[in-house]
Amino acid sequence: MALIVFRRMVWGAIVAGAAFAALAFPVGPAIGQEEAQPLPEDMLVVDIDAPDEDAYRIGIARLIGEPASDAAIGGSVLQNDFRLMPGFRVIGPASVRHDSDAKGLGVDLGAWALLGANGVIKGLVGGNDTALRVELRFYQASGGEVPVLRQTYQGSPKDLRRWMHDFVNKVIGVVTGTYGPFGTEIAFARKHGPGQKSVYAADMDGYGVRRVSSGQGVSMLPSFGKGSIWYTRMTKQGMFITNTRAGGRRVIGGKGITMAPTICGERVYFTSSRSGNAEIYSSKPDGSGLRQLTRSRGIDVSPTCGPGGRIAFVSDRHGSPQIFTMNNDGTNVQRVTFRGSHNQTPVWCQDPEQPLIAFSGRDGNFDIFTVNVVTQEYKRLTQGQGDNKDPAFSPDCRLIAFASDRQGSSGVYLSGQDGLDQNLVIGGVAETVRWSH
Amino acid sequence: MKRHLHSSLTMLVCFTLFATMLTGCKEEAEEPEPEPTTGAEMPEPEPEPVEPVAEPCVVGTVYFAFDSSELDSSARATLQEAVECYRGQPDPGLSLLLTGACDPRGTEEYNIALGERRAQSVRSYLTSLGMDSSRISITSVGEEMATGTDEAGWALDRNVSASEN
Repeated sequence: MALIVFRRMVWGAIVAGAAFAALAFPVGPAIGQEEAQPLPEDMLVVDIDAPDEDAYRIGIARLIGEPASDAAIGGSVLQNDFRLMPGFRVIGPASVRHDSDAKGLGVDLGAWALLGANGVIKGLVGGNDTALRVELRFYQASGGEVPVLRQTYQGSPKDLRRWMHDFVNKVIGVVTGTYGPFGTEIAFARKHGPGQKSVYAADMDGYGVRRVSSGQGVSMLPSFGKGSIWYTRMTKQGMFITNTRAGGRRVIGGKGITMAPTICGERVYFTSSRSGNAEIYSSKPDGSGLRQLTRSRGIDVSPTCGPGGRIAFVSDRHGSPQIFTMNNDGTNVQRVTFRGSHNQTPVWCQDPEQPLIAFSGRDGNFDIFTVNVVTQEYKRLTQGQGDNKDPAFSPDCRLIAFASDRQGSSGVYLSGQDGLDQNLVIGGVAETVRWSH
Repeated sequence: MKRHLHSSLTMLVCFTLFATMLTGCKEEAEEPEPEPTTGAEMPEPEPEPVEPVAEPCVVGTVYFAFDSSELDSSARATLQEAVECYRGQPDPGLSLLLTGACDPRGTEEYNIALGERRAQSVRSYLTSLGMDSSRISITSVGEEMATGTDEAGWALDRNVSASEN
């Protein structure tokens, strides 16, 4: 059953739908009941053509000046970033009928107001192939013709994209109070065939996809550490943990399986079966100072860092894989998910104000969910489009990246926390997405 | 890779504990000795004595249900057949590597652990039938070798295969 919610309608459908959802899927743990409740159905969103009253409409004028190619790139980066950002709607240069160049870096707010713009970005590019200068201005409709943000970037043309991301982050900071996530990176693994898998990284907007593992055999399960990307290699000589700084050589190994590193502060958390069963361990980055954190008969895998030194992980100690949390010394273990039968690959929002864990829940196919660790409120982000799994939060938690094999357009997608604004940023087969912080 | 193991280790040891399964294992596996051929006493060369050629024993691949490491009756029969074969032969001095594998529908990490658990199930069962656990090592490839795209293919992906180590 899908709950139909007419988004943006003003006569209370959202409220009614939410109330219905609450009735149909009461929240709260079903203590002592294994898999008592299914995962929540999707709230089918019918996007009717009505003004999005909540969205911030940002006008982005064509960047003026030379080199024209750099101006074009800069403008497209600005537009694309805001298109990926939940809560913003872009009014691009193509929408603008008046001469947006007429005032140079100044702004004709009246003309933009006709388009419903809440704010406008203007920019001027100057320089040549080796040295570039970009001046950017951000005007708010409420702020008149004095820019609320002005920034000049100077340096190598190769930094152009980074400058644009930086300015977007600052504009988002002005509008929402929280700096934006652009300029961060995403890592993921890609299967080329049986026994062939590599680790890749890219900018979070999908630019600059590059392989960071050797390209031979199986390299998988990436994670960001300080100045390097950690990952797992599966070789004929065994499985071990490595990183890009070590060039794929063994950094942490041991008997049985040793995999899935995640870096939390000064320690590495990972899964090992050196005791004969898959358990969560931590160690220093060189593998010394080993500590065993779980001791259950079940499979314990997929540790990830949370705020306040908490670790989320997956265990099937009660029968089927579910999400648990514990302190980083293995104490105070708590079960988090009580709905659905296969909940895996948890990832925390790092903002302590948003106690959210995103995970892959199996309900026929895998889909992306979040659960509020405190209130047990579940949200479904995907449904009915193939497998969607391995979520990762952006540093500000406003975006969730995940891998999808939806038909005809596999890849890494970004989504808002409510499942809206889903955008493909990296096409091609992908899995185990992680986000740099 | 072949490994030379201590001679006192035999691949097959009969355990009375599992007497019900030991219909064909009443005594220590016999070394079939070739006929003595002391050429000086033999007036004329005889044809080479025919040593009983034993078919190499094979531990057949066993298959599992979704998200399960339980051995079903078919898997047990496959493993019992292998153990019976080993009982009928001299100790080949080999050790086994059991590799657990999964279909591609899970998550990569969980499937690596699940594959290992499947291999552990097979090792436990082989050990219970009398095989020496110290000569059985296990590993997992998770879903990394999976090729299935439908239920029939996935059923084949969920397996433990054995090789000489």
